[in-house]
Amino acid sequence: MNTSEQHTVRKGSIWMILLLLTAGGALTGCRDSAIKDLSPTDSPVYITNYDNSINFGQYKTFSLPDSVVIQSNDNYQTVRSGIADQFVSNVAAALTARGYQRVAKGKPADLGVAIIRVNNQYTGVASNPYSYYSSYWGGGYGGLGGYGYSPYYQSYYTYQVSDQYWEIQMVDLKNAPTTSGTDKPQLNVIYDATVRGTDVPDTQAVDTATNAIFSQSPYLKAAQ
Amino acid sequence: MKRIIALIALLSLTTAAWAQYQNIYSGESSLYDRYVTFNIAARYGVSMPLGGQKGYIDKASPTNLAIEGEWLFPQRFSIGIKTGYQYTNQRVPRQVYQYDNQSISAVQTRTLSIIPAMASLSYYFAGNADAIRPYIQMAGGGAYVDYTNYFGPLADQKSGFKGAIAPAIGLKYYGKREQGLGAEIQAQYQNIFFNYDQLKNSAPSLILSAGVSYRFH
Repeated sequence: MNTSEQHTVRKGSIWMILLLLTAGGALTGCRDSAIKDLSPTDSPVYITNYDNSINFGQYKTFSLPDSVVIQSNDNYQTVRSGIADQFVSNVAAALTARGYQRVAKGKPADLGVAIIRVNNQYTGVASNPYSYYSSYWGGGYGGLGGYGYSPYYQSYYTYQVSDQYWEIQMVDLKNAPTTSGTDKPQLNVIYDATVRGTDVPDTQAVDTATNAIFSQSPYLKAAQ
Repeated sequence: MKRIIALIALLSLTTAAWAQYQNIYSGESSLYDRYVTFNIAARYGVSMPLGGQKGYIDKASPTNLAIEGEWLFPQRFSIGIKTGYQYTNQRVPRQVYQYDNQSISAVQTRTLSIIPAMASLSYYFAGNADAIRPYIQMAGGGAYVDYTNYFGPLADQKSGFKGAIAPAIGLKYYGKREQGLGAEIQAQYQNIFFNYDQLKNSAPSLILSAGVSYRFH
């Protein structure tokens, strides 16, 4: 009697466990379809970072070239295009509205502003993609022989692959350390804004992007 | 030592005899009352978020499945294992999220997938062969949680196997005594000890489910 009971229990248990495993294995995720209906206007993600130890009121002037840096992995070049021009004029207008004064190319400024089109072929951090600072703002800073890069923030999120995006970067030229010997001075990036999630297809999308970026960065304001 | 063995033998023999007496003369004899038997159930349900889970997604989810297997013991209690699949999502209109020195403006599509893996202990207020079997249950174990919060199309994902508890009350209804196939309803409070970013503290929910139940031996 004992044996048959044992047998029945074991057989029943096996059936039950098999059923549960099969059912569990057949369950697949619904989450992948969650963003299938995302509209183009809902897709962009505007991310801004800033060094919160910096008082942005201390700066008065900024340098912003008319061209845009195209950064592709470790290489860069500068270009002009309709979308690029719109970015430059929008950022210049927004910074002017916040009380900063734009200086002519090559003249000393407190802030160096760079508009960058990142065109990376892979995700991850490029070894030193910031060498474009050496000549981007013209002759006024060329004597420094190139700048290093000192990140002040840690990205809070890890994102899925996004190869191409627009970036606005600001470095502190006012408090640039003086060089000693052959060392490259470390310029601090004090502000960084990126447009992620989807590409910027037209100038209207540029307006939306710069509006969103500056409205979420109220600390960008010159002292009156 | 011999005396103890003799005592145990005597005790078991008399118990067996008593059990047989019960079976023969009570007229209520059932295999369910004598052996370990089984019950499997599959239920579909709605989930109401509570606490931290409500802070992440504040609407009820219609996508919940529960699967449960039980070993029924003659003394009206059962030990079981349960799993299932729970999914919920919500689109949140564009707003700016602040993190220390970072601001993110995005339309969020929040999703939460849960696959519980728990052991349960139930007590039934009726015999194993009865037509109507209300019960109380305490389940504990873990759950695989997948938190994926899309910022636009970009995923912020956190997943892992976390501890979970799930007390429940329910009712199994088989129509008549000894019948195998029946229906079941259950109300379960579930708390998963998971938190991340927009989902603070832990992830509790109330799941109301209904489905089929089958007992066999």
